[in-house]
Amino acid sequence: MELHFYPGQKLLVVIDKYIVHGRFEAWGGPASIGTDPRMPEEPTWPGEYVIDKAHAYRTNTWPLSRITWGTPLRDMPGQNDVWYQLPGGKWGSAKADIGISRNDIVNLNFNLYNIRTVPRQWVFNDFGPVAIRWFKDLNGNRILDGKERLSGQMFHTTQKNEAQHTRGLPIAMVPSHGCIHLRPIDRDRLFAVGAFKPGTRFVVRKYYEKY
Amino acid sequence: MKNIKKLLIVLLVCLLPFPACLGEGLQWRHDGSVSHGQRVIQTQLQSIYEALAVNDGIFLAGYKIDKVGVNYPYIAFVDQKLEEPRYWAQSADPKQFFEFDHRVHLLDVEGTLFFFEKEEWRQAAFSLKPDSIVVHSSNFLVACRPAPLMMTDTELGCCYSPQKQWQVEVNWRSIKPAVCDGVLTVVEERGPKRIAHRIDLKSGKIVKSKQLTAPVEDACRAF
Repeated sequence: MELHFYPGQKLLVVIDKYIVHGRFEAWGGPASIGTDPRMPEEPTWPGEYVIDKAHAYRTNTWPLSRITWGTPLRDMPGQNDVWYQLPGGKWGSAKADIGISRNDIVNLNFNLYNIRTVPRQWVFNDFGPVAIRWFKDLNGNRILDGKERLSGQMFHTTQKNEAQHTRGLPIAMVPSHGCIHLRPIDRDRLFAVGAFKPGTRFVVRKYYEKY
Repeated sequence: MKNIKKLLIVLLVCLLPFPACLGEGLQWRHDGSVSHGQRVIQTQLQSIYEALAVNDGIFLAGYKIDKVGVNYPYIAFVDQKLEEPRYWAQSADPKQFFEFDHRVHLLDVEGTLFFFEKEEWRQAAFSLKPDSIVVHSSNFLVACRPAPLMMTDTELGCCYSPQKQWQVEVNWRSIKPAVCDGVLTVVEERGPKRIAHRIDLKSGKIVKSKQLTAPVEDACRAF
């Protein structure tokens, strides 16, 4: 099985033994470097890659992504704070650690889920519940080893699309900063057909290429 | 006679425009309690996050939380005597209280402005951008909207004045802009870089910028 992404067409094609198993809408980055002062948008870099793994991703680059999706939360209204569970079972403070207060979280949840509550789990990570990683396979063995490194770009859904999916609303796809955005249901379908199996060949086409 | 003179001086000071004078001594806590000296009352708000002390009491913004954890945004007022608080339900989360045009104003997260008059909150004739904070309100307003939290949101952070009709894009988030020595100071975040700007309040022109080489705790320490 292979994956082929045509960023200019926002199209992800799953091919197995020359048979197309599915076509999925997928949004990459812009064709040229952008101007977002937080982090400039970049193209989804054309090339041949290999799928490595899928995991709940976190990064300090984006405030909401400093906490992994699904992390248990504890509401602390008397401190205008929300605690999140740390590895080992202790609790961290969203207010102290990422500068987001309880009322910010209530407002975020209202914007996404139309209810003013503190959710039981962190559902605000920009990379959704799971990110699918790839790498450039320098030695051709389809395993991440040696000097090979995971790409900073990955397949993922967004917190907004996850909320829309949960609420049964239309999914509003948007361009990425270089990653490949998927609809939640398509991500699930791609997993189900084995498209994200580690070792799967994955090709990002040039922006002018058409399927 | 001396005591009467002292009392008159105190009264005279308290009549001067120091908003927190007669309201001073009122302390509020996030848990919804308000105290004055040893006396403490528990308001109906279970989570307070914003307040403004005024001549005769304190305005509070927070939530009443029901049994299933739904937060209902409210404003409350507690007077200096800690008598029964008054409450006003809100349709959007209150963001900030401030004084402007001789009246207490409220800005909510949607950018809607209200002013307090005759025991009611009335909607102002103009609004601000959603998620803004007011940083200057002496004769005209200057407000700032932070960089968005979500990666996919694209509206940049900015500072602006509706009355002076200027807007400057400045991508701030973790350090709140502040007026320092009469000049608006904003610490902008461009990736890992931190760049401080001094902006003229009336014109919106950036008069000075410098890249910070070390973290600062607040905007006024940037220059």
